[in-house]
Parts: sequence; structure tokens; C-alpha cells
Amino acid sequence: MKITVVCGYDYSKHTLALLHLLRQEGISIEECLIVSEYSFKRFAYFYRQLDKKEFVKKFKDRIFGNITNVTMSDEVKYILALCKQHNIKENKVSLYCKNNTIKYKIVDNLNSPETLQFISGTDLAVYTGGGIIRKSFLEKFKIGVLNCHGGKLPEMRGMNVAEWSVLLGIPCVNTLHFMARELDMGPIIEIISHDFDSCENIDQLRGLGINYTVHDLVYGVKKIISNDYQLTVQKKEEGKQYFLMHPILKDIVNKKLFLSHV
Amino acid sequence: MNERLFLEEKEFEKRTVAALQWLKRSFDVNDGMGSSAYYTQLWKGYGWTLAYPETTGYIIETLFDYDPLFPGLNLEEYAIKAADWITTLQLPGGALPGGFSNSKDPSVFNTGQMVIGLVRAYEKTKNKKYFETFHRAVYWLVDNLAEDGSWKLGAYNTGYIPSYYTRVIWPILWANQYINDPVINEKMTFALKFYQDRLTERNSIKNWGFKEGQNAFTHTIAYTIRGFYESSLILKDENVNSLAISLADKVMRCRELQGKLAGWYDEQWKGSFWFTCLTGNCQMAIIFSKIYEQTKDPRYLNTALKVFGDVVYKQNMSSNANKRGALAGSSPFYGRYLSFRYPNWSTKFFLDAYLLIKKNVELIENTL
Repeated sequence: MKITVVCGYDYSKHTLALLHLLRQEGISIEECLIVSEYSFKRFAYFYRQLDKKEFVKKFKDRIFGNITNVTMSDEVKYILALCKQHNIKENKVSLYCKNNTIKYKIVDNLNSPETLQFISGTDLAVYTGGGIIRKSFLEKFKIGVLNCHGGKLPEMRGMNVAEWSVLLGIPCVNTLHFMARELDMGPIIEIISHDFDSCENIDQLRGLGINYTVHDLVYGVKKIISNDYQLTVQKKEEGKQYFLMHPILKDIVNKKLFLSHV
Repeated sequence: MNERLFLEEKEFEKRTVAALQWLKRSFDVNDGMGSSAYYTQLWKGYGWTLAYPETTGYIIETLFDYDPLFPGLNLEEYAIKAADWITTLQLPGGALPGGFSNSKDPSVFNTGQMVIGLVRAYEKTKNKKYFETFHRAVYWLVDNLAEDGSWKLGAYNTGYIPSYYTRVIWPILWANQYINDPVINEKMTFALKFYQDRLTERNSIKNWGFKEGQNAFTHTIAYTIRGFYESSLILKDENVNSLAISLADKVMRCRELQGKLAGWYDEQWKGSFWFTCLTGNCQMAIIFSKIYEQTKDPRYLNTALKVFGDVVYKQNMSSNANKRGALAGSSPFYGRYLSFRYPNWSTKFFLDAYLLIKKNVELIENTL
């Protein structure tokens, strides 16, 4: 089976870990698409969507954290530990690809004709970030585009679903699913429960969640390769779309997580 | 701007007291005989305008709501004086006037808004004078309902029936909780249907702007949704409730996907983002907060925090007493809605939204 990994930015540690763990399982990667970190559109998107504190944190983690190798937030610690545990030396996806003879391309946008042309007719894409994808991209893969959503589908679509789960007092889970044109609406492969009991704040919740996501994606790829899965179709009315959580509600979530350990 | 700061106790007190002081000033300049429509240095009628009965009516609610928080501000006294003043404005047929305090033209919408203040004053004081005034006003409205369920007389723009008249139905239903006439509820259910039928395929309401064919400011969008919403609660009408929530959901989606609300929208939800209708944001924050209270779905409180957070720091906090505490019509100041002016209703809805949001956030915190 020919597999493409789709990555949100070149310094993505969880993509590095995913590539490594997939290879460790004997799964070969045909190619990797890396969305360029430095596009004005992307910068503007993050600036508009994120609260300013989070924007600064993201900026520090992604830019300075990667250049200077200084960990800026708890969120990154978990994935760095995973990379260290697996002795991943590279700090960039492109470098990892180069060292392991995986074809790669840095693109501005996943839906551009240039990107679509690069995709060499692989069977499966594994999505680890890179923005909104269109039908033309989805149609490039015979089996589909695998995603791991950090919340329970079909109930919780959208953003910050781990935080929303805590606020609502429901367990944090991951959902493996194929992507569809509509956000988080593709057919579900499996819902996977995880233990987040150790988390005392959102950064830890997200950090640990990223590690679980990496493992779940490897698990999902293996299931797809062995054709050992059944799909559950989602209906829109079965769930709600969640949006970026306001900093004041995030503070409440942090407090709730902290108090659960007192 | 610190997106957390505005709910801190000190900041809340500083901003709400400033806003209340400004509202009080808007009464004081008229010797307590109603609140001036707006203050401006850059628009015709420079300075404080004449009192505006319509918004004085619904400001009464805000004054009563804040009175227990800041008893030293004598807000109840202002509220009662405002209600007393409104009783003096009633026209022979029972209608209340549109426009400024010197107008004698009956107005459907403005009558409805003044009924809000009168009912609230009656609830608070049990003074029959308020009951008698809103009783006559309500029957004037009900008696003048056209066969199709709309109001054709007493319009702001002759011949145009705006959908934000749902915000007239709500006070009628509210008043009828004291009048207790089942025919009124029947008629208002029928009247609501007139506006329900204006739902477009894009989940907007036809003619919810000030003029036929004109985009709708978030101010009148919120008026319309609030009218549907509050009416649905009184009538316990699930269909109308779902409609109101689905309209609010659409506004939520617009805010969340675009990162801000436009100043106005067309019926296809194409918005003009170069300006923000500040009062519209506050009104939407109120609606989201109320839906949160009903559904306990925190997404609504989330969006309430955002739409209110988008405007809270636009409040004028200068040392000029004619402006300190006020919220302008638009941001930027030259935006399309009430350009260059500080309308009293912007500050009123600002205060209402602030209090509701604070209360709901505290409720969540207290459940931890």
C-alpha cells in the first residue's frame, strides 16, 4: 500500500514521530507533503483565530522552540520526550525524509494544482495537519485520508474538543476517521479511549493528546492495511460543532483539571 | 487587549459604574424627564439630544438590574422617574409616541419597547399607574394588528413592516402575564407566524433591517432574534424557540469562522466587516447568554464572551463626563451604524450583556 503523510509544518514533531513509528512497524511511506510554515495567509488565520496568549505561545513553540531547541510550553514536552525515546535525531520533517529516502515536497497549500500534481496516486493519506482540504485533494487517494480527531465523533466536531470535553465533564477520547469535505464529518473507523488522569492543565492535556494521536494513527494505518475495520457513517444532527474556546473558559478548564488533582 | 481582564471584579466595577454614570447623565441633562437618545460632538444636534422615550423605556430594566449591585448610585430612583415620565406620554388611544420627546406620533415599535420598562416597573413597585399605562398600550397594539398578523400603522418607515417587530410581540406577551387575556396570546402566536414565515433558505429573516432591501445591522438582527426567543419562552413554543436558536447559531457560526461579526449582513449572510455595530454585538451577547442559560450548552457562553470581548474595550473611558462610560454606535466611530454618536441603547445593552456574562461565568466557576 502506498502511503502519503500530510504535515502541517516542517518542524512538526508529531509528524516526525509518526513517520518514525510507521517505519518501525515496517510500513513504508511513499511521500510526504509539508505545508510551508511561512505564509501570510496562515499567519493571519492563526492571529485571527487564536487568543493572543495562545498565539504568542504557538509562535514561540514553533519558531524559537525549534530553532533554539528550547521547550517553551508543557504542550511540546510530551512529543519531545516521545521523539527522544525513539532516538529521533532530526528536528525537521524534510530532513527526516531526506535521510530516509522519502519523497517530500514543501507546499503553500494542500489544494493547489502544484500539490495535486505531486501526489503520485497513493492509496492512503495520513493527515497530521496542514489546513482545510478540498474535494480535489481527497479524491487523490484511493482509500481516503486518515485523520485522528481529538474528541468523540459524531458528538463533538471542530476545535479544542479535548478542552470542551473537560468542561462538559465527558471523557477525552480520540476518533479515527476518514476525512470528508465537511469538517470532521467523514466515516468513523474507531473511537479510542485514553487515560488523561495525570493532566493538571490544558497544555498537558493537549501534549499527551498529541502523543496518543501519533500512536492511534499508527494503529489506524495498520488496521487499514490489514483491512480490519468497519466504517460508521456520521449524521450531522448527531453532533455539534465546537469552536475555539475563549480564554476565560480555558481558565475554567485549567482550574477544573487542577482541582481534580487536589 | 487582555481577553480575560474584563471579567475581573475591579474592571467590571470600573466599567459598569462608568456606564451607569453616563446613563444617569443622559437623564440629568433632561431634568430626569427621559434619557437623551445620544451624545455627539460631530453630528447634527451637537451635544445631548432630546430625550428618547423608546429607549428610556427599556433602560428602566437595566437600572433596576444594577440597583442592588450599586445602591449608592440611586438607580431605582432614576428607573421610577423614567417610568413615571413614560406614563405622561401616553396618547389618547393608548399608543406611546415614536421619535424624540417632542413627538406625538403613535409608534408600534416604540410602544412595545416602553411596555418593557413599564412592566418591569410594575413588577418592582406594583404601582397600578404602570399597569394601567401598559394595559392601554398593549390593547392599542393588539387592536391594531392587521388581519395577516402584522402591524401596518405606526411604522418607522411608512409601508414597511420590519421583522424586528417580533420585539413588540415579546413585551405584549410579557405584559399579558399580568393582564391575563388568552386572546392576546392567541393573537400574538398568530403575529409571530407572520415573521416566522419570513425565514429564508439561508436561515435569515427577510426584512429584518431598517429599510426594505437594505442590509440588516446586527442591532436589528438581534432585535428580531430576541423577540422570537423571549416570545417562545413565554408561550412555551418549541418551534419558535428552535427558530430563534437556529438564527443565533447562524450568527455564532459567522462570528466563529470570521473571527468577528460584521456590522451588517445581507439576507445571504454576506457581511460588511469594515465596521462593527457595537450595540448589535452586545445584544447578541445577551441572546447567547440567555440560550446558554436555557440549554447549558457552553458554546453559547463561549460566543457571548467573544462578541462582547470584541467590544468591551471600545467603551469610552476618557475623562470627559459627556462620554466617559458610553459605548458608541459603531467602531470605527464613523461606521455605518449611528456614526459619530453615543446612543443610550448601546450603553444599555453593554450593561445588560456585561451583567449576564459575568453571572453565567460565575455560575460555571461555582460548579467546580
